[in-house]
Amino acid sequence: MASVAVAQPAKKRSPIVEFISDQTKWTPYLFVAPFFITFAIFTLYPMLRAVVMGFQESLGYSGKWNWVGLANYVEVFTNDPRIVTAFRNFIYYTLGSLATQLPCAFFLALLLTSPSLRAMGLWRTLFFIPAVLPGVTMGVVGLWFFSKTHGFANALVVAFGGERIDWGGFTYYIMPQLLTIAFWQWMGYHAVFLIAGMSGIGTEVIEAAIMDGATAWQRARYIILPLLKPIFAYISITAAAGSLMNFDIPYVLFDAGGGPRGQGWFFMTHIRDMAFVQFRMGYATAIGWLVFFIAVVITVLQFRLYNFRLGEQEVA
Amino acid sequence: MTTPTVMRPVTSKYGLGIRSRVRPFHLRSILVTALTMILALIFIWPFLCMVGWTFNQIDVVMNPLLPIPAKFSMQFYQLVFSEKYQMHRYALNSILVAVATMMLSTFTTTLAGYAFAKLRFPGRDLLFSIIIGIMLLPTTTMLVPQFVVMKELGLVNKYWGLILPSVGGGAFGIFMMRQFMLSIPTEMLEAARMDGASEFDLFFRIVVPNASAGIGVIATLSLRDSWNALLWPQIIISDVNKRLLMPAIVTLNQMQVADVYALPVVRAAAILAALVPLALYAYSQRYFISTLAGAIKG
Repeated sequence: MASVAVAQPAKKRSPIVEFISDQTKWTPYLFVAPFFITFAIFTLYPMLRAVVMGFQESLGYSGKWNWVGLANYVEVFTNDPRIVTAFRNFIYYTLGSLATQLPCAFFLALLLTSPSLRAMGLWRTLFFIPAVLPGVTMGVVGLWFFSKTHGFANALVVAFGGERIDWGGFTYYIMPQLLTIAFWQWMGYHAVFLIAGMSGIGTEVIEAAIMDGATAWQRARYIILPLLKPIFAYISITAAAGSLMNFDIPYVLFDAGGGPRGQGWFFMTHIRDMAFVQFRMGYATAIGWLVFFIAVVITVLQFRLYNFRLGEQEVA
Repeated sequence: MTTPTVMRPVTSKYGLGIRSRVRPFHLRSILVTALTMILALIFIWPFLCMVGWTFNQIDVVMNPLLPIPAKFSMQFYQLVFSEKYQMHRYALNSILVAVATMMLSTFTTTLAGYAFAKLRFPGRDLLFSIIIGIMLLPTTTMLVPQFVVMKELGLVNKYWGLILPSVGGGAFGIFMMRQFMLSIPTEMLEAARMDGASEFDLFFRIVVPNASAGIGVIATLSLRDSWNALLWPQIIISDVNKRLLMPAIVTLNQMQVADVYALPVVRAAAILAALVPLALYAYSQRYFISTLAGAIKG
């Protein structure tokens, strides 16, 4: 596309002049440049720095760093009980969330796709709302709910003739509290994904089952449930990735600390505490790498299990 | 229609509906709707109760199981905006950061999404694969080195430290924007190009008006994420006057031993803080859910 305005014959022009004088050639690069520039400065460069920082320890905020070799990684893997706690909490929180939320989400999705349901949009919206609220709000609601003196949970316990429970004081109440809040946050959110999956099931399949005399229960159990397998896999993986990065709720619930007996640490709250309370930036970076690689493993699993369909989307 | 029945088209949108005729007040319809209503009520009941609690007078005992204050009072909400707690100032700080981030990042996200969807250039597919790779990277774990770099760049304790990292738009946003842009007819762009429109004309006159729904979603998500964010603003901003709302609420929550009013103010502020994403969601809810669902349907 040689420009007509230029008097020179097109052949003699250098490729650079050619490139600059043709708007259609350079604008695409200009359009995608902001992302790559900010990514390079604010993510890629820090990641490269992190490779070095993992082998160093910071001296407070002074900006000075000491080489410590593999000491940080040795500590991460052999000598940090909080890592063990954080990993255990990550596993319990993931499995607990799925075990409590998925059956309810499935039932809710069946209900919310029922043709007999009126004002369907209203209900879908209502159950989805907690997922868009700030984590801080959900944490504050959780603290109120489990307050020893004037909380909802204890009022229920007392109403049923029990004694007030000190929810914040014992290690074995940590998970129930977190899972209750997580249930509020994510159950309706998961239901939305299941609803999307259900609308992908052809009506002929269901129709055929009705013709064959399948009851509503049989249709749900033997047709819908198996066909939703990829959606369940997707939800499980994203839930695992989400609990790995869990920060807001434990941070609010345990006052930026580790909860009763330090049994409430999660990876991100631990990293924040190490870096910005104990000023061990190098060590916090080493933990960051551990979490990074756990997350990468989860992503690889996601590809394997779910058979991620980016290729098809590109055609669409 | 002669019969008092309502025709319901059996579309995939309504899921597994087979019965195409549902009477308006069919028993089954009443039962299903009533069941859903009860479940929804149980689901949001504790929220309502806490909202009720924030309207209760501080020295009056109220039943936490009911959303009705024993003695109605606005005192906590007055305290939220009082000289002592000044939550409105932190909220304004949050709005400033959220709006600036949204305007800049939505613009760049739209540009990049358009380039990847509609422009042909050498290296496009490679760059787009890189974007997808970045989308899957758990970059949150790189928080500490990111903070160290921000400190070296002199961006700690400055709003630019919150805004700049998002200025290029997110990988996920660009990915979504590209999907939106694919539906814009290429012929329309070609025709305008033939008429001598510059690439910038094309973008502002044709692409932006045709992608307004997608741009709205990206802008809403960006606003919500900035507003809800806790961790990054918490570590970047340490100056009390510059603090954003979420870190301010959490910090006040940690002072409840020394201050009787801290806890009620935290609760009232947390409820008010939830109104912003709620309003955003109400504004764009049909896009919200379909976007999320679309992300996995492939």
